[in-house]
Amino acid sequence: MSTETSREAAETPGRGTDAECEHVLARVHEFLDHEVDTATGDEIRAHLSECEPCLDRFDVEQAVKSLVRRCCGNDKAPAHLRVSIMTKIQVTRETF
Amino acid sequence: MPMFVTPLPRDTVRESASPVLSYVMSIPATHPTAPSSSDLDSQADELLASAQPAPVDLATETQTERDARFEADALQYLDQLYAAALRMTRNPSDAEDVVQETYAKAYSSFHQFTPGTNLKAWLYRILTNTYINTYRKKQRQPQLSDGENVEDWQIARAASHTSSGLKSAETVALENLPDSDVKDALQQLSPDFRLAVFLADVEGFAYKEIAEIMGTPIGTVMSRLNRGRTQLRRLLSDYARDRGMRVKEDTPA
Repeated sequence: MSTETSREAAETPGRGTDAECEHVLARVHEFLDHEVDTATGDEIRAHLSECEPCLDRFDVEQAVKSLVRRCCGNDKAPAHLRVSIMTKIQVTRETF
Repeated sequence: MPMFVTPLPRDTVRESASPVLSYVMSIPATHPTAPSSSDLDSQADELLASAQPAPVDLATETQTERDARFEADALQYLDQLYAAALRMTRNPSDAEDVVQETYAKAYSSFHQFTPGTNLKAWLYRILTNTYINTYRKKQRQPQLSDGENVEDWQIARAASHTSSGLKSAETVALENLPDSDVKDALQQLSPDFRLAVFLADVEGFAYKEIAEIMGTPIGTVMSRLNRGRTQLRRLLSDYARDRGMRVKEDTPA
């Protein structure tokens, strides 16, 4: 990262304190997974509305989450698998 | 049956908010699949009224009726279970074996399944156990260790600042990666991390459900998700860099 960027970050007015950032970033996954309670969610949203570095972190984590969802769940079972499952069940059934 | 419901904007989001801001800010606090128990009750009632004409009575159900119910209810998850098995085993032939064995076991113990409870989670639990007990042992491909990647993004938090309100370079780069890179990256995670990430992101299971499926405390699920996603993000950024995309350095060197 460039020195310019870091200076910008340090000087951005209205940015949350480091402790706040730490508190919020520790919950990034819980927040994105909808696992925080309403009060915590409000607290995090309030922080993100004025802390762009944290927002960027949340943004990239959400991007990873969306990528996994987009790319890794679309496999279709081969047609013969359904047939062999049904055949196996049929055999199990007949042995009862 | 989409598990993942697009979150509705719940709170006041300022009109002037940037596009990045508006999405993240619109994420509701509580999990869409974990409503309150009274919500669950009314939802269950609705579902029973609409989807199932008559409640199942296990005592009087005949074997033929149960078989039909198994076929109708359990087989609908075939593609999803196959996709999960493919992520676990990392090859189609083993994935087919795991899924077939899963369905055989599920059929044999279907009389123990309580109708109206979460069938998908039940099937995933059997799938996971089948994979762990039978297939994991024989898999000897190199994988990333479960090692010490504890929330290093906390250290990196100030590094990815942009002042424009636009998406960061890293986010843009990741979003432009081809599907094959994302699959490859997920395959490199250790099995526990990979499964936790898959169950959360692809299937949209709540932490509580993932804990039940994987047979671990919720704290372990959270730790696996944190560390798995951290590894994943690093791998994806590497892929993006290899493809010549601009990715802002995310750790202070």
